[in-house]
Amino acid sequence: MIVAERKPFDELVDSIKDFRRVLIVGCGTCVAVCLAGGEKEAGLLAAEFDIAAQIADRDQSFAVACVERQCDREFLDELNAKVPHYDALLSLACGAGIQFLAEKFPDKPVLAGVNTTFIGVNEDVGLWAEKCRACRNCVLTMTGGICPVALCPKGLLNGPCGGMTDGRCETDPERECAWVAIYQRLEHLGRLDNIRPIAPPRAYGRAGLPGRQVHAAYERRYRANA
Amino acid sequence: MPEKYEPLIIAFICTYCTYTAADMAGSMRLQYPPNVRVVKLLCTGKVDVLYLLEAFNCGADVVMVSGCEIGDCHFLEGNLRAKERVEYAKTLLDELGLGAERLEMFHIGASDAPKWAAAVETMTRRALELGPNPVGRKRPLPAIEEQIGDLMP
Amino acid sequence: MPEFEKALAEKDFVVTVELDPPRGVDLKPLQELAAALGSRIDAVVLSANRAAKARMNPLLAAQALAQQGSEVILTLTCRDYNRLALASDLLAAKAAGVNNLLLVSGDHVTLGDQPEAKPVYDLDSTQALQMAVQMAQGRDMAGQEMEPVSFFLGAAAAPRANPLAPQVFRLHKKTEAGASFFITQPLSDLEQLKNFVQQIKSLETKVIAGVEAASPEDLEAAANLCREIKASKLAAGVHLSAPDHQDSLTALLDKCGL
Repeated sequence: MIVAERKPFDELVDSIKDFRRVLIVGCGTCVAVCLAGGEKEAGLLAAEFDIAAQIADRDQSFAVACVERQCDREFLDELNAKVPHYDALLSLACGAGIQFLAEKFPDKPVLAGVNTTFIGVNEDVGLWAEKCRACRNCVLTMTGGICPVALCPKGLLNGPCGGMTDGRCETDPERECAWVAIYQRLEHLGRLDNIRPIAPPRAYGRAGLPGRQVHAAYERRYRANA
Repeated sequence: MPEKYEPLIIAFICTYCTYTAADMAGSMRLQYPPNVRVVKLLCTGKVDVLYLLEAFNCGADVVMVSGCEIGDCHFLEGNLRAKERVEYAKTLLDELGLGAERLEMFHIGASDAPKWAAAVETMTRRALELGPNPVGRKRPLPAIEEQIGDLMP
Repeated sequence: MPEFEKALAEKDFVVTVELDPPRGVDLKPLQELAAALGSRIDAVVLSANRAAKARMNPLLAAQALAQQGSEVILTLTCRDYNRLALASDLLAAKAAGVNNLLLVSGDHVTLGDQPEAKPVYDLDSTQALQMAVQMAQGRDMAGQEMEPVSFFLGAAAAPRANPLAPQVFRLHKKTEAGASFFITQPLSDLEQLKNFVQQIKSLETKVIAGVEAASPEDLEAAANLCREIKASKLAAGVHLSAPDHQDSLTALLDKCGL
């Protein structure tokens, strides 16, 4: 899932300072699961803003709306009636959802309430770890299910580098070296041959262009008019 | 002439321990400041961080949460959850500029009436030291109680 | 055959030193140091933004030293250059008179003084070695024909790696990719070298053992280790470094008896 983190309070207060009536828009999917931008977090933020505004004697009022997801237009439709009553929308969705919200309401300033951090997993209660960089060319088959793109700070495809110390990464003694993990996993599975051939350089350029993906079954729908 | 500052303390307390202690304090005729307004919950495990923020938003100068002693919660872990939520709420109070010291968690057993009186004493003194909540007393007290009540379905 | 390749093939024990390009624009001190080291050493390894701290591009330093007769091994890091820039530097290095390359991944930017810089790592060191071999065969990375540009190629090795097996695995790949020699990270004792050489027995790649004097007070200890390594005949040579006090290198060579 996509993991995000609420922006620092001071930064948020600064971004809403020009607006009298702010609607905080929560999202019920990824950001709710990682406790950053769901209905509850939106409610807490509204209360915090309210108190802070009163302390600073600012004339501001806050309301909360939460939709299932901000990355599907159908859910955003639910906001149609509310949006005109507010001067700005503060979205707690991930970067994708914030943009869809902004696109749907181009006449309202849309502000970002969270920093989208990574694609990751729920390691434990309140703890999420990055696992995937959406690199568009998954090598997990080769590496025994451990991703060197996300977990090796150098993104090496022929690791480990010489900086590995006691199985830990040179960038952080708390971080396991991804390539040691890959080696040991493949050794355990008897599949070290996977990483024996030299892995060729990754395709960055074209893979780095803003993605656009059409499902095969829908290609006809999007083909230019014949 | 400016109104004398009479601190408003809102206390979220549990039925099985603290409320019993508070009740007993009354029958023992223990003297303690009259500034506390009690919100009685079955267990402090029901306290949501939002209740705490809303209490301040209504004008409470300090807020108390008081449950059973650790290990004695009638619902096993409710007071532990409340403790963690109070810790988190304190960080929010700091970041929004109100100050973590206005909120405190207590653990008061059913028979410990004097501890209840002492806790109220402590928080009243703290409210006097910290000064009134800048949010001000915007609404009359019954309305505040109603607002907090509305938060709890 | 270029000097260093010849020395490694013919001599029992080669000596290389690590030199940092200046943090400023004056190459004179570096040139004077290289001249003073003269023929006591078989090659100078010029570092590239060592420890992820920005210094003058070693290419310019390499040209200056090559012009005054030093045999230079130029370090290129994957941290700072994408594949275009690496290819670019290979061509420039040849034109500058450099015959040898040390291709490394490079310390991560978070270890240096500008931790928020964007690390490149378009290629890793193994892929960079492959690219250099391809260029020696007259083909660029796009597969187009080009004038062959060839170097004597080296890579880094980490004898202190623990666990060692994945590192050894990688050294086999680096050899396959085109590395003819390894320069190791600084060793702490002879045991480490013994153990390492044992593990890479099947590799024919020559190993040049790294010895570092962390500060001027460590020269004696470094010299001892160097003499032990030479006597053990376990390595093809020694690579001496005195990071941030490289003027001590002449004294270190004296103490090593080299």
